[in-house]
Amino acid sequence: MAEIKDQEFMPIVPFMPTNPQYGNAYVPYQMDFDIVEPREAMEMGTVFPSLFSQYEEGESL
Amino acid sequence: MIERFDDRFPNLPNRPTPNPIERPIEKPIENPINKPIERPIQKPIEKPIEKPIQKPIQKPIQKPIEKPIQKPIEKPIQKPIEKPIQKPIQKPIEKPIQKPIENPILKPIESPTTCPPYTMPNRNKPQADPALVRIMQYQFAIYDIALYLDTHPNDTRALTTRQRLASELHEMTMAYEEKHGPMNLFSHHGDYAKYVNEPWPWDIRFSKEGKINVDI
Repeated sequence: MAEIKDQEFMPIVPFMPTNPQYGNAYVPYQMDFDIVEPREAMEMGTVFPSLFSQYEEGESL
Repeated sequence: MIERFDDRFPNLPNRPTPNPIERPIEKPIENPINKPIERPIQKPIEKPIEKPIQKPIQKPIQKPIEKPIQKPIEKPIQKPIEKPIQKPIQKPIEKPIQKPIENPILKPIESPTTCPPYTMPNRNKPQADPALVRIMQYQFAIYDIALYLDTHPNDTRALTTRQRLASELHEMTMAYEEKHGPMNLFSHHGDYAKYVNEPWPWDIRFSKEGKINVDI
């Protein structure tokens, strides 16, 4: 099975709106597709390591 | 041009004119000049009666009478008389009279011959397969990719990955059902009666390393 490169993927939605407005919140569109093995995904809670973030105490300070 | 209500519906009877606002009758304002000026009555100031200052009488200081200290009389210590220990009298235990139980049913109930007695299945030694954890991991990964495909339907990378994981999961599920029976009610693979001998889901404890411990 031929591997598909990341450059060949054409998203249907841009990463961010072309004309973002001040004071509005946007969620950036997921572009990459890096996944881990199912064994690690079960512990992380997600297949995508880019979505995995451990909340630590005083992280946002 | 503003179209009025009466112009649009000329045949309607004339609406009653709104009543004028009924205001409460206001009291006439009294002219303060006509009022007689009320002067305050000047009362004579009552001077407080000056009482003569009474000097406190100096009482003679009464000295306390010094009483002679009475020493307490030392009484001889009375030793407690050692009483002999009285052992409790052991009363003989009165056994209840065992009355013979009167069984009203004289004849035993005959068991029906059509229904065989139910025997519990042998669940003394359940064995959980560690492949069950591997199957759950694949099911989770496939489900997460399916969520990604909801927003990225044209991503061929996710489609191929999902296809690869699903085919591997199918082989693992077939191998598991061959051993332990169907995994769900809708599976047509494996022996359905085998699941009775398997440990119940609440008896299995899954550890973080993927190992299985059966808690019975």
